[in-house]
Amino acid sequence: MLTYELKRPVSIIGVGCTPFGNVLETPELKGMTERELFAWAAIEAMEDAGLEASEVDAFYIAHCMPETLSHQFSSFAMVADWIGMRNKPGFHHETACSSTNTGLRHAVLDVASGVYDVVLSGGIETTNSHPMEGKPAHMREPLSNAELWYRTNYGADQAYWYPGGMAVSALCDFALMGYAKKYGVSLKDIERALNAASIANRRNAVRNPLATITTKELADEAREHGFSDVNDYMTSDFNPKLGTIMRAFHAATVVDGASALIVCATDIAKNFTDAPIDVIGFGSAVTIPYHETEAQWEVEKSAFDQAYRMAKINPYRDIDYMHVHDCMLNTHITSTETGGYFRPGTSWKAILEGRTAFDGDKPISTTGGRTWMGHAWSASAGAEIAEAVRQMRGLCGDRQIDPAPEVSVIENIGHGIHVNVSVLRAHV
Amino acid sequence: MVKMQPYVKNWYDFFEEGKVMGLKCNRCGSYEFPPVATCHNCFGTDLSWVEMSGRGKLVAFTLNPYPDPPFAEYAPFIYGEVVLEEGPAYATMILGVDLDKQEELYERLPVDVTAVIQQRDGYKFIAFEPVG
Repeated sequence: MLTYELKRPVSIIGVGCTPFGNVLETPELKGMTERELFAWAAIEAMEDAGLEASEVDAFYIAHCMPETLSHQFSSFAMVADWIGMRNKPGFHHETACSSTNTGLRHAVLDVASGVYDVVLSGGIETTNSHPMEGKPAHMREPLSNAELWYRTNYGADQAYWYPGGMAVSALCDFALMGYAKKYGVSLKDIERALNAASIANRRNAVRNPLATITTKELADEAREHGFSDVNDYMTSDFNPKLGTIMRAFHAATVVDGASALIVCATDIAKNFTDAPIDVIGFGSAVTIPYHETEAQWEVEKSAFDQAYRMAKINPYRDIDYMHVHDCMLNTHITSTETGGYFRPGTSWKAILEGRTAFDGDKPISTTGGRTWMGHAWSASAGAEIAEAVRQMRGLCGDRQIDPAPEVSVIENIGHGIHVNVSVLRAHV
Repeated sequence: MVKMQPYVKNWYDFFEEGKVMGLKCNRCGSYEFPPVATCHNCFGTDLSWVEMSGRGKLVAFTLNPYPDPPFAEYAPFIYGEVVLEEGPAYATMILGVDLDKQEELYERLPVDVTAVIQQRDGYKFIAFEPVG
């Protein structure tokens, strides 16, 4: 029988995240390999939790494309010594771009089962480059965006989905065409909403010290290019179309980075931190997206429903902050409604009204999103969970949600498709 | 003993014969297109090959201006979501569409389409094109 209950409550007690950038260029990251990045995030999470590696019983490392991007599998061994976990249980896993959200689930279940008390779960990806053949790991060369996406599309089923000429942009445009038809919204208004979502994400990224790839808001960037109205800039050749609807600024920017979190049994959480965050629900579901013919995907609905049933929350009433998987910004419109953050057919207008900004009443993706904090494949979901934890603790500075959220939902979608949803609540 | 067969190869081999084939569940009558070994509806595993109508409705599409290298020769092309008359949905290339008339195509959705088997390097695959 499905109980949708943890046998033992579990809390997040520490989070860590590197700056997201490019190990070939970004000053804070330059010259680092996957090992230093993962260790950075993991040690930061341990320090945040107030413990050392000797107190961690097991760890997970999410690494989505290790063979392509790191010329390496056995990622568990790659990092074990670096984080003090030699001769302890360590596991590599991936569910593509939802990996570190799934990694939270793995860690929670390990603790909820009673097998372990404290588990670390993190992720690493270096998307902008790969090692030189046969050379030490720090000797890397750039990987073109086209080559990266070609290899990333190994995430698409190679029997049936890929051979028809698969386009990732289709996942955005199909959903939005369905949405526009269903709710009688013009494609012009859909484009305006996507542009507004990108502008809001950029505004968050500029305020997020871990988002290194951008330093100015889109309105300022527009002015530098001679546009007095940012909306004109957003529909200009500076923001080219990648599909029928989607434009470049509606899509992910690829980055390198790592994230980590530490969970423990709730009944001992206060031994480590004054501010534990309880993991009160999760849900997962998989499909191949050609089965999805509506704006709101069944696979997402399944994952959200599982998570809310477990968390015993009413999404329309109880959620203070939501992160949706915005490697394509259609999710600010479609996934937020599937996840009950907005009533059907209303999200696009809420975005245009500024309600999804960090200082709006329905904040989304205050990291800067995968558009402007960037997308580090398996590492990003952990960054988004870390952001939710920090928002709930009131630590997000000039992008802090006021009042600090009590209940947060983090939804991620991995290529292929894997959806993972986690529900967090501030411990009382 | 499970009666497994090379479903993927067989599906593509049928295209060589000019046939668009799917599987029909012998327990509940649901269709699997493309073919898989378990019925999505009743979870039965007793399925038989049947010829599909090849008719369906295009419900959504996108322009693919920058496809991966294996499809570069087609760029730019329309890629669409088709719901088949028999129930299953599939996404593939949509041929016979004027790229300058995407807005018109969008306004006409859902659009009746029919299957067209296309030759590629070493295999044939299924695309669709609007009827009429």
